[in-house]
Amino acid sequence: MTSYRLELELDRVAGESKVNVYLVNGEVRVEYASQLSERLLERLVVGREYRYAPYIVARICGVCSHAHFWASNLAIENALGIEVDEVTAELRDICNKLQIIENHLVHLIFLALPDYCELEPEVITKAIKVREIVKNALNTICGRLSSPQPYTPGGFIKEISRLHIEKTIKSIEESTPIVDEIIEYVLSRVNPPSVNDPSPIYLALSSFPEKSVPINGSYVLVSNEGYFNINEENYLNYFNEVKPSYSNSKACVFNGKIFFVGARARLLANKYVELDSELLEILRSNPYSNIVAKAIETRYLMRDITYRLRSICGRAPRRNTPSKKNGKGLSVIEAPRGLLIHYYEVDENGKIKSANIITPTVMFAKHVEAAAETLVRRLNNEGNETSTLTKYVEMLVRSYDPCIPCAVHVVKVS
Amino acid sequence: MVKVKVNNVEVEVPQESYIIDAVEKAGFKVPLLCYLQGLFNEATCRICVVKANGRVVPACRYPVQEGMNITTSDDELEKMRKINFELLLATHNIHCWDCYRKSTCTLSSLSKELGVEGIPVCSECPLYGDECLVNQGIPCLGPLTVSGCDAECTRQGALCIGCRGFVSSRDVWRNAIKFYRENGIRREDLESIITIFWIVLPIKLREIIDEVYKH
Repeated sequence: MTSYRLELELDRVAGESKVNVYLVNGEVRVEYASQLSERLLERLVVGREYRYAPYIVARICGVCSHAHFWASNLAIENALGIEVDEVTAELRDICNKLQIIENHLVHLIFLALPDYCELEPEVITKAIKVREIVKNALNTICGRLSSPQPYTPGGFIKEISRLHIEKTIKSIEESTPIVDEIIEYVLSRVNPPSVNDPSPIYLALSSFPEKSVPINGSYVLVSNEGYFNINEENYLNYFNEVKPSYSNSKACVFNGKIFFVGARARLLANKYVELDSELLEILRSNPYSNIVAKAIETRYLMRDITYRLRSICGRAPRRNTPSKKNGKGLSVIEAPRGLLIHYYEVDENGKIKSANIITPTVMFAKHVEAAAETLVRRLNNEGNETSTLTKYVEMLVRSYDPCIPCAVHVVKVS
Repeated sequence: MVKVKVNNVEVEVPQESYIIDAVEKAGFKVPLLCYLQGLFNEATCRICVVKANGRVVPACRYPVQEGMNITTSDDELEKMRKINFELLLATHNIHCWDCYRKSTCTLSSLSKELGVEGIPVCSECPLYGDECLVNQGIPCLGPLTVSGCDAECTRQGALCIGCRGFVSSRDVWRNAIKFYRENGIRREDLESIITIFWIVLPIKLREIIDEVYKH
């Protein structure tokens, strides 16, 4: 096998994407290409009133629309100097975590696990049942799972009754043991193949799993290279987006380096769950272990949500109004697949002047390529068949859980 | 007693019965609009049409006969019901936003059942009178948008932004635009929200907006 070209059409990922593997005279090159057509959401909001922007960008994708809805509300609140009360912030954070759990469960059981073992029907039934419970909890607070609009910049539109919150707590508590069983099953079956991470630089919000709040106007990101204060003025100095010719979405580097985001980065950055040194080493050095991190995170978040819901039960959120007419605002949150950045500039008439969205899939796109190149090089040196190579590359990409619909949100038209 | 077959299910009904009684006894359903059991069966709406021995007849008015073979649903019947319903709807003055029937409206539930897109989201909206967002001066697109979503946004208190597309009836457009005007909603605000999903406004809708807002 001296030179070949492989085009892998990926199944079991959200959206359509393709991996192109080139081997020419021993040189390996991998391209991770998003195939969905462009969705010009950053341009669609320009010229419209700021309060309609979250409604529009929440339609970016049905998989984690709350994350985008929340991030855009938060950015507009930061731009217009709107302070939200604790209950509102907490409720939004709970919605986000419920969405993380829902996404993780779907990815673990239905997308990633079939790579490692044959699924047992009982596990599928359990996963569907838990997903339904989490979905209902999200419906109670948000009204619906996809494209929710329960609040605007300033706060919640409607009050959520105490009875409903109590019911939600009960249902989540009841489903926690089932989630534990599912996670045990996943952890016992998943055996990540070994591949050395070529660029083990993680990036996550330092406040996770606490709620995302700017400190002195800046969000603090943590990486193995230190802490970074990100705000609306300097975020583009750190995040550099480029548009590869082969893909419909952008790719991003942080401080000129390839990095990764997501459950693995959150776990490594904030160490909110105690892990033994062996597992920590696997998480640090193996991109496949994102699945393990997701499983651990799901188990942790189920308990975290119950605790948080209890702390706000019976307290009503307040609504606040803008303190200024125009401004620039940035928000950084932890979406299910990793960091999500929204930026808006609002003019004096209350209309959006410019917008920018950097999504998790865009952030780790280059990392996927780098990891796949290392993997292909190793498998090639070991003299493996193309079918083995295809299988492992697909498994690798799937372990990142890429989501294409929001990655192709905008492409610069020249 | 006479024996009839409804969708190949054999049932026995009294001799003076109508087809609708046999259909109900056999456990099937046909959509009904003007029929009210024991009070009204004049077959004026023709929504309940079925096939009796291959002939299209109204189920509420046609008497059963021994050995009759009744079909309650096929492509031809569905199409006929849909056309009949569309014709009825065309003569109905749609004002769902200030109609007291709202969620109890048979036309609304039938339009969902038959797949006719003529009724706006207001028919499903739980906000009455002063609660109505348009009455509060908010440019909610409920009056212009096709129903069927169970008004999930307005149920949460948020405004409708028309993600389901607009109702096809021009009379509804005219009534709705007048309603916006009466509630002091500015033309710019209305157009700003309409163009979120409907990037290109239908020429007729623009004409109606021009006409209503000119005066």
